[in-house]
Amino acid sequence: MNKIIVDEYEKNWSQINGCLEVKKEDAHIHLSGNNKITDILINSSNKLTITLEKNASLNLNANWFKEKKDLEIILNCESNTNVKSHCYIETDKHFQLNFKINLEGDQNKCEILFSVVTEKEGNCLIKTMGKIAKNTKENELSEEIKGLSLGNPSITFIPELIVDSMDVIANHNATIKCIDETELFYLKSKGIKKEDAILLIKQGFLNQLKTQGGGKNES
Amino acid sequence: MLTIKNLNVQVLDQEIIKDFNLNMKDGEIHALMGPNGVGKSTICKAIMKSPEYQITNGIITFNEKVINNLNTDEISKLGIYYISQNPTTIEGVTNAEMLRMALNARREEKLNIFEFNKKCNEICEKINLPKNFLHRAINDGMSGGERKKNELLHLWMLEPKLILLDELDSGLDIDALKIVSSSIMEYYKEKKPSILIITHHNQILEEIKPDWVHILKNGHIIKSGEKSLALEIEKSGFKEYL
Repeated sequence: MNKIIVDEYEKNWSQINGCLEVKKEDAHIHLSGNNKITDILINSSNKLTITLEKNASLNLNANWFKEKKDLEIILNCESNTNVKSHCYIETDKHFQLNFKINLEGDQNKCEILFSVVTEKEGNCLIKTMGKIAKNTKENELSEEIKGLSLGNPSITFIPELIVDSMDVIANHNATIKCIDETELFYLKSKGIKKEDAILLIKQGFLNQLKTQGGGKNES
Repeated sequence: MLTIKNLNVQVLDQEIIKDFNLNMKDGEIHALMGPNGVGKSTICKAIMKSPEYQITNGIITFNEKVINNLNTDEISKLGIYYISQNPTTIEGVTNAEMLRMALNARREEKLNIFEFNKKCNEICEKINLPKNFLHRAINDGMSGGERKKNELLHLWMLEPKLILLDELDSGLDIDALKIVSSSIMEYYKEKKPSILIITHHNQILEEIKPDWVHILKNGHIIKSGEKSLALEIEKSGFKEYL
């Protein structure tokens, strides 16, 4: 795995490809060209700002497993940028993420997908804020958050969109699913014990996301 | 094979089944008939220990083992297979993933993937099911007929000794019913399971011919007879039993 270390407050990069390891509490990176971030290793309460310069693209994946975090990630897009992002969060602890995306220029295309699985004492709060600046043209922003709650943990999604332009296509969706007793009974009636049935349902939730678009980022 | 004695079942504090008795021997086919709402499906769900169905009295034994206190998966692993009238959809979980897990749950050693694939392919050919069904999510985006065929795939793979068919004919046109029924009969001829069919109609009983027919009223069997009883009901309806 190619690691890209962020150990300065501000850094300019071009064409990065690998896992971003953020060592500063507050960091700001500027990206140009075509970039791929395969994962983000980050401390529990860091703030990361990524600015995509004109004509840049970013394929961003982040996977956080069973981690306690309170993160802020800001993505600024200048003009004519292309972003595909999938953040996967699986937690049995407290996890909070503020994700802001600012479309500051024209003709940016952004697809943002979050998938969240919480279990045991998991408590997850995801705030997403999409902001499309005044007098910008032909921006496209799609935000989707999907959650699966295993047991009785809490999941809260707060999706927000602030659109100051008339020439934009923007949408956001948020859905939370619990373990369905009918599905559980069906799988148990095939001879599968409860724990394994829950595992299958969770796997099914993730498979669906892959076919829906999250998996596109992995290629 | 299956013995049910003095069974009472409650759903949401309402008693649906009262003093129900049934004795099925190895290889027998029984049909349970009755109008809507008399508790026919409740019997299957109580046998399978569906969570909303509470057994308040009575004993269910399968091959001389009391199964009332077992979990649904344990009941299934004893060899009881249930096809509901509207099989559940599970998005994202493929038939192959589910079947592999279900077969592994029945074995001490994990099933070899090549052995599993070979068995899947043989059964798809046998029941004339496209092999891509194996990689489709369980019942997702399938028509009523496809769902029942999908359940047949599970049936042939899991090789049960007792099959509970809860209104198999529901949602099937005549041709689909014939295809599904003949596959069940093929399984019956090959493996000799016992079958309990829940139905309103005689039509399915023309395909899966029962040894015994029972009429259910007020939560228990009020009349039993041979197949001719189903023909009587086909002619005169359930009025006499209401």
